[in-house]
Amino acid sequence: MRLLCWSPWRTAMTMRETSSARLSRLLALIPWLEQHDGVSISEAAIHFGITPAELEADLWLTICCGLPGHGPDQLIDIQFWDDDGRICVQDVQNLDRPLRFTATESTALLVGLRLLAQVPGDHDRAALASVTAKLEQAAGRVDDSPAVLVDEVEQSVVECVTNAITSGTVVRILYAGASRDEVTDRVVEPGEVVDYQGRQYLIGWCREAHAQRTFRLDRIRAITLLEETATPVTTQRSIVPMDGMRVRVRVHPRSRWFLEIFETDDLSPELPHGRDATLTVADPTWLVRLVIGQAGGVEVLEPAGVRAQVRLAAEAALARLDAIPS
Amino acid sequence: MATDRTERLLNLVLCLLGTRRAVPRSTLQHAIPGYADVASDEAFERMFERDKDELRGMGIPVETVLNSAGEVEGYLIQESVYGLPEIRLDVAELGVLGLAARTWSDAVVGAHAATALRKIEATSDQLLDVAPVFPGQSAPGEGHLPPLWEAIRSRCVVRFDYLGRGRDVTEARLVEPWATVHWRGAWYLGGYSRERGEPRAFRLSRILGTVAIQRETFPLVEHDDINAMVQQLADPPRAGTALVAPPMSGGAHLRTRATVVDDNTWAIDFSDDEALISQVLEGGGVIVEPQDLRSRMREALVLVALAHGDDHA
Repeated sequence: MRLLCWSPWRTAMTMRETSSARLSRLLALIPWLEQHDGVSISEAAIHFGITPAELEADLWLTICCGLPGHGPDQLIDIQFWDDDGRICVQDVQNLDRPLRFTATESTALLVGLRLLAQVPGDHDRAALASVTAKLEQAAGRVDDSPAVLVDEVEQSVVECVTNAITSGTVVRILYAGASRDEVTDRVVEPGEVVDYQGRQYLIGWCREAHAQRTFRLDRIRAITLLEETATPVTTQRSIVPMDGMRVRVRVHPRSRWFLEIFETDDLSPELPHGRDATLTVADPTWLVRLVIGQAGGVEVLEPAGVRAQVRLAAEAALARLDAIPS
Repeated sequence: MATDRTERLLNLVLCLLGTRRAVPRSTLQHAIPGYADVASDEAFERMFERDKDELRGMGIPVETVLNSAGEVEGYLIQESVYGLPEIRLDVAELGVLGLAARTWSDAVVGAHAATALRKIEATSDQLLDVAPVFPGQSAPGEGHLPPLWEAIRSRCVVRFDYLGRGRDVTEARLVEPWATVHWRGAWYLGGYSRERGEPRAFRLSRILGTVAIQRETFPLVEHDDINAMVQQLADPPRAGTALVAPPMSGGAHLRTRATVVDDNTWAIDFSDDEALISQVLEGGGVIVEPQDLRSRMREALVLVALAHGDDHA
């Protein structure tokens, strides 16, 4: 499991940062420091996703730059060498405003906001609309967004789940689960909604299972609010149960999507035979069926028990197939 | 060297941004450290052209100002065009904006969103919470969005290696990109395939390698409903009806797609033979008819059994 800080420029820096990537950061950093005068080096570094040493290197470079003439009054003047580790801005010359958004930057934010609007939850819908309007105005209204979103989840489900979470109300759902392969009637105390790989999931306490369960919103067939207040629950932010089984698989490129539906880790690089990955699954029976459906595109490497289950299930189906008269 | 170059570019921006009148090249050659020590005028010209292109590539509006005779007088950056106006947000707005930037699990798109956040913070004294992000994994194909968006905007043809459904090897594709569509948790590119000579939908997770933007542009086409097109093309047209022996147990999902003929037979309409085989295999049933799909299902099962033989791969 990787744990990273939000590091916008990290990708570029680990490779070997290009001068335009660094300049792009400096043009945001300089007015940013002026607005947040007195910020500490470490806090600024966190915001920009770089190390304090990298930030200091940026500052050393910055104070060597300025308007033509490069006399004392023409240079950018930023002081950051005091023991308190704070950055004091004296003069940024004419860099008091950041460069306007690039088309990709504004699209990334605006599409992100629209994706968020599709997600039920207790985030502020009025704020969502107003921030979108403000950004569109600042971005100079990009003529036609290159991205289209198709909303698959029933709006009524979204509204009902949102309602239930904000009011702390118990819900009753008809749920078509994938791993149980049946439609079940459940009473759920809603916790929160999380977004995982482009799909939304409701995490809550399932009264039938007496455990925390995760429900994919597009699989909720019907939902009603019950007249009962939910006990506040602390949810584990995880799509798969913590006690799931770990299965090592080898996935051929043609079954690549297979990796998209699981929580995976220890992903190997692309090899001629595909990629190896470790999946965490709640129900190996379900995995076995999915593996068979891939017609050899996915191979279970470990544990041996699951591997044997796949073989036995395939052999049983073969026997059945051959027993049918042509 | 990158450091020297960054310094030179930053000085160039400062110089062009601080001026009302266009700065001639000759002035720049002397005023910008880094240009002055270049051996020849020719070398300076080459260096300056590269720098200018690089700044423009970053979205910095470097203007070329012509005199009345139509000759280049010099260059400048207008502050009003360059600068982002102040964006003042309340606490709730800051909150949703932070969440929105984090909907991207891909590092590349996420970086663009994060840069935009820093720029917003640089227009006022407001700061967003920088919560650590657990990227989990990159959403497959999401990283192809920035180059595709750029190509869609500039109406440039793109070229990429695509792994077609059920294929083992990729094929190079030339596509006129129209729009990216987010549907059922996945991103698709809708556009005109040069190879096929018709509109096609491409799933971004099946694009391997990088998306190369070509120089060649294409004329604007009227496509009325791009998302309907992608949904239709991503789900190919109906191909027939299969008879299936139902699973011994379970199979509720398969059942929802089937019409019960009798106790031992379900009829399932299918639109894609490969998908049908997968669904029947997953559902625990076996295909009775058509014959060719039945033998393909048999082959698939043999492959699975072989792949999971006793001797480890």
